[in-house]
This record gives sequence, structure tokens and C-alpha cells, in this order.
Amino acid sequence: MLVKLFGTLRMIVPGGRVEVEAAPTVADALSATFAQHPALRNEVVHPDRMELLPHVNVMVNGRLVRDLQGLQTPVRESDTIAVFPPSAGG
Amino acid sequence: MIGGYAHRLAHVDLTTGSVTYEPIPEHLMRKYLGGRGLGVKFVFDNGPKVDPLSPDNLMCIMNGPVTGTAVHMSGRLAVVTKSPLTGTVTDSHMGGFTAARMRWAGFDGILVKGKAANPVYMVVENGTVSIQDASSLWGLGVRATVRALQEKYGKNTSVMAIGPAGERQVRFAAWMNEHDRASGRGGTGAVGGSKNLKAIVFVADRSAQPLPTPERKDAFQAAVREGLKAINAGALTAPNKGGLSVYGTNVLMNILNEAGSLPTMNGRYSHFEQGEEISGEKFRETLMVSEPVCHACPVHCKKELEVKEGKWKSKTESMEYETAWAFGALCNVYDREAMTYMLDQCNDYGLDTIEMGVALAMAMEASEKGLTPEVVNWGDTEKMSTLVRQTAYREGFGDTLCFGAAKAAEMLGDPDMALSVKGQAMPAYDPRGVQGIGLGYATSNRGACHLRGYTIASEIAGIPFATDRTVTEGKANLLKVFQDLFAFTDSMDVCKFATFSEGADEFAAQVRTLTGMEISPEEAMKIGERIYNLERYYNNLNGFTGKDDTLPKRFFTEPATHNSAGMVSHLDVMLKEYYELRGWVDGVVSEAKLKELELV
Repeated sequence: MLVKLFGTLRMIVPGGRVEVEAAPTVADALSATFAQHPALRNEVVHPDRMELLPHVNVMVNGRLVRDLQGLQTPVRESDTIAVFPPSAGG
Repeated sequence: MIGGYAHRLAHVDLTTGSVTYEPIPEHLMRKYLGGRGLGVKFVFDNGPKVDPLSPDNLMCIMNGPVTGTAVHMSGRLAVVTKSPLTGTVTDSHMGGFTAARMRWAGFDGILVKGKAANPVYMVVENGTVSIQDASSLWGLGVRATVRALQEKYGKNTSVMAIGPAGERQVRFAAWMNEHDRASGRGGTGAVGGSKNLKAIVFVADRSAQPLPTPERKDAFQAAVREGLKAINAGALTAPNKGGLSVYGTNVLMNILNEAGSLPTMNGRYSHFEQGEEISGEKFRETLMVSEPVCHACPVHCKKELEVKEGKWKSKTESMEYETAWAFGALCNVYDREAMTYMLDQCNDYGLDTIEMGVALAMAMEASEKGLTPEVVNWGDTEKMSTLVRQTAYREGFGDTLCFGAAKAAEMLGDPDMALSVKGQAMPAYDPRGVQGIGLGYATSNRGACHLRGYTIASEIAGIPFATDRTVTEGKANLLKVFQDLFAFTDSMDVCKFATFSEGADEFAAQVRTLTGMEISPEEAMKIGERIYNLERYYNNLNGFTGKDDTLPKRFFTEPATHNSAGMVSHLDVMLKEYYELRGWVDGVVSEAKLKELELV
């Protein structure tokens, strides 16, 4: 499945695209992403637990996981996960 | 004496050439603070029925009590007047150094009425305002005007100016300052043009000017330090780390696009397949050449772009999210160089990029329907650039677009084509996929706007707390809080982006220790509520009611696409709750609310 990375995360993964094996939850998909790019981990989740850092946003098909089941949101192989570091503007 | 203020307003009558000075009455500082709040009060007192482009309209150039001080992000200047675009009261703010220099030159505000017989500019220096002949400047673009006046008045000079669009009273003409910062919305530049006022020069050297003394100096410095700590530590605002600092406001492009909430091709769709090509990430990677700053701002969200060669050769600040959307997704364009060129055009002509882009997208839809005098194809950047110029100079089809998207759509025969509210074009967030911002557009007192109440902060970014973008519950209260807080911060006058890391506690502490006025966080919100209601009351006296608090028809009848597929706006549900919270009856401020807020 596709994990898209945006903003400053592209300084770690140029192009911002990571393909991972099908995973049952967002947390599992992120773990698979971190396995490929270990430097991402500290930019996305707490160093000692699988919990998003403040204002890091993760979407599954455009829906913020905070409005779903958080990192335990189930995903399918056809889903797209998008990860955004803290960002705002206007 | 209340601390912080310069205690000096200039009243300029351009018809007679007279300039008089007076302090701000103390009770008005306490009720309206400064900036937007005081400006709205002055416009209100000038009477609601004035023709916006007549000599009788009042144009207030305002700063706030914290402007030009050590308070971070305090380089904001407000132009407050009756809008020729909407017929409402409007205020439009810009950054840079102009506001700070106005304060250092000894002023809280400059209130301009009348109309000069010939083009003039004003010079603001050392507590005085003089009126000078601008015959040689009339007809010049913003950049040439600024350059000529800075050469004449020296290095400690800031200049705000109108371009050809303002001279011709294009209804969405902007006041610009020397760093491509725009007081963009509502047509304030047209009001300047109607008065034959080409520019205002602020001459002041901070080191030579004694700043107003904080009432509680040590406490003020502590309050500033606390606020700055929050900005530097804030995940969203942290210098060189947060997305806003690194990519500018256009860091939002991918987020809104991924959420299926990026209005595309005049709102037919809510996702742009080439969205990444026009994102802040891409502009930084390909065209960014520098990162300019505003007064006292560690965030430096501005990004200067340069197209070094070719037909789109240009150099300009700053491809904001709204501009990238308006010239990009909304018009089916993903040519970054062409977009940069059109931004450069707008900055030099003095045009609001949001209104321009929305007008162009409307024209593309109208062209498909055979309603335009000439063909305007989706994504035709050559044609767009030509129309930007024609709009500024009011030539050809540009003499229709110059009235703004809403009026132009009406003239072309189908008002529903315009993505506008109360005559002003909407910004870059789709109200189908993000419910709360739709309520914000509908109830904004200056026409469609994201900066009256930025619910996106909560609905997308999750600050100060997260809400679900797809639901309507709680959005009325969320919006009201944002609207009242922003009315206060616009009156201080600090940048909206400070609110990403600070709240009413921090802002009230800065004002309290600077001025000595006992303003608690609750009182700050009350001042904001008073200002918001005064604006609404002014609009009510101009005939605006609940029927004007609506959205473009498309957002109720044509569902969003992609990751917001099937969604439409449920404005009616939120609006009912919002009116109850506001104490308004069908969009009209009640007598009880007017009394409660001491507005009558």
C-alpha cells in the first residue's frame, strides 16, 4: 500500500512516496514505513511509544485518523495513507 | 495616561488639504483597542449610507497599541473603510515594516476623507502629515512608485501605494507596500484611487524615535518573552522547523487536496490531480530565492520567487496558498512559472489575487456556456495573464472582470457561477469537505473570508483542539470564538499566525502590561465580540440580513469529489445555532445585544 509523506518529511524521503506491504492498521503501516526509513520515526511518533506527536496529522483516504480510530484505524491494501508534519497557514 | 499608544490620530481632508491632529479618546481605546476595532468605530461613526467611492467615504490607516514594539509578529497595518466591492465595512491587513514605521513616526492612525483635485501622496514623519503632488507618479506600477519615493526620502522609509488598478477604481484593487505585502481584500486600493491618493510615505528611524513606554515595563518584557517562547516552541510556528516557516502558507496545498477539500475548476471538483505541482514544497524546490521577514517576526513565512528567464520572467513575493489555489487548481493550471508571473502582475498593478483568480475561473465556466465576449479556456495561462492586465487597466473584457467575480457573473447572466459571498470571492477551502469554514464564509462581515474565523486551524490542523471536518456539531461555537479572538488580535494588531501558538491569555497579558488597561482574557474576548457586532450592525444598517449569510449554490447542490465524495454543505443547521449564540435575529443584531455590548 502507498504511504505519502509531505512537508519536511520529504527532507528524509525525497519524493515522499513509500510502498509497504499490506497492513491491518495505520500503526502497522507506519511501522513498516519506519522500517524502510528509520529517521522518519522521531518526526512522526513519540520515541518510546506508537503515538502521534502533537499536530502531526495522518489521513486514510483523506479522513484524519484522529476522527476515525486513531492509529488503530483498519486499512486495506487499496487505501492511501498520508502523513503531514505540523503544518498550518492561511 | 494609557501606555503603548502614540496618542495621535491625523484627520486628513484631501478636498481642502487640511490636516488636524487629536488623541484617541480613552474610552474608545478601552472599548475598541486600536487597529481594526477603532477603524470600524470611526467608519461606523462616519455613517453607513456613504458611497464607498465618494469623497465622503472614510479610509482609516490604522495600527494597534503593540505595533512596532518588541511584541513578536506586530508588524501589521489595517486599512479600514466601506468596501466598494461588497458595500460592507471592511478591514484588510498587511505585514512588512510599514505599520511599525507609522508607529515610529508617531501615529496610531491616519483618517482620510475627501478627494484631491489632482493626484497626491502623503508624507508621515515626526508626528506630522503633509500632502504632496503625485502627478509624476500617477500611472506608475506599485514597484516604480515605491522605488521613486524611497529614493527621494531615504533609507528609513516605508511606502504603501496603489497601482494602475487602484487608480482606475477596480473594485478589488489593493493597497500594497514595499515588500509585495497587500492589504488585498475588499477593494481598499480603489478607495485610495477614488481620493486621488497614490501613496503614503512613512519616514522614521526606530533608533531616533522614542517608543511609547510600556505601563508596566518589566511585566511587559516578561509577557513578550512568554509569547515568543510559545512561538519558538510551537510545532506549527517554530522558526525553520514548522511547516509555515519552511514552506509558507502554501504548505496547506497538499493537505487540503488530500482531504478532497480543494475547490477545483471553479468548484466543480474538490480535488486537483496536479495539486502537488503547485504546492509549497514544489515552489520551494524550484523557484524560491529568499525568505523575507516582517517586523519582529521569527517565523518568516514569506517566500520570494524568481523565474530567471523566458516569457514568464519575474521576481516577486510571495506565493501564498490562496494565490496558488486561485491561479492554480481553481483555473486548472499547474504551470508554476506562469502562476508566479501572474502574481507578479497583481502585485505591481495592485490587485487582490484571490478575487482575480476566482473571477478568471468564473470567466472560464462562463466561456463554456457561451456567455463571455471572448473564449477563455480552462488552463489557458496566456489568456489569463492578458486578462489580469486588462482588468487592472479596465480594457476589453477586463472592464467586466474589474467589478469582481460576483458582479461580473451577474453582468454575464448567471450569478451562480461566482464563488462569492456578499460580493467577495471565497478563499481556498471547500465548504463541502470542511463544514465549519462554510459557516465562516457565510457569516463573515466583509464577504467570503477565511481570516474572520479560521476554523481550519481546528478542523484540519487540530489547534487549539481537533474537530472533525465533516460534522456540523460544535462548529457554530468554534467559529464564534475564532471570530471574536481575531477581532481582538486584529485590533492589537498582530499577525493571525501568532494564534497558532498563543491564545487570549498571552495576548491579553501583552496588552495589559503595555497599556496598563485591566484587560483579562475574558475582557479581550468581549472586546472582540463588541467589534464583530459593530461591524454586523453597520452592515445591517446597509440592508444586509440573514439572506446574505449564505454560500454559492454549487456547494449545496453539487457534491464534492475524491476524498470528500458526496458531501455538501449543511450551512442551515450551523447557521441557526450560530445566530442563537450571537443573539442575532435572522442575521440582524438584536437590541438586547447592542445594549449588552454598549453599542447603543
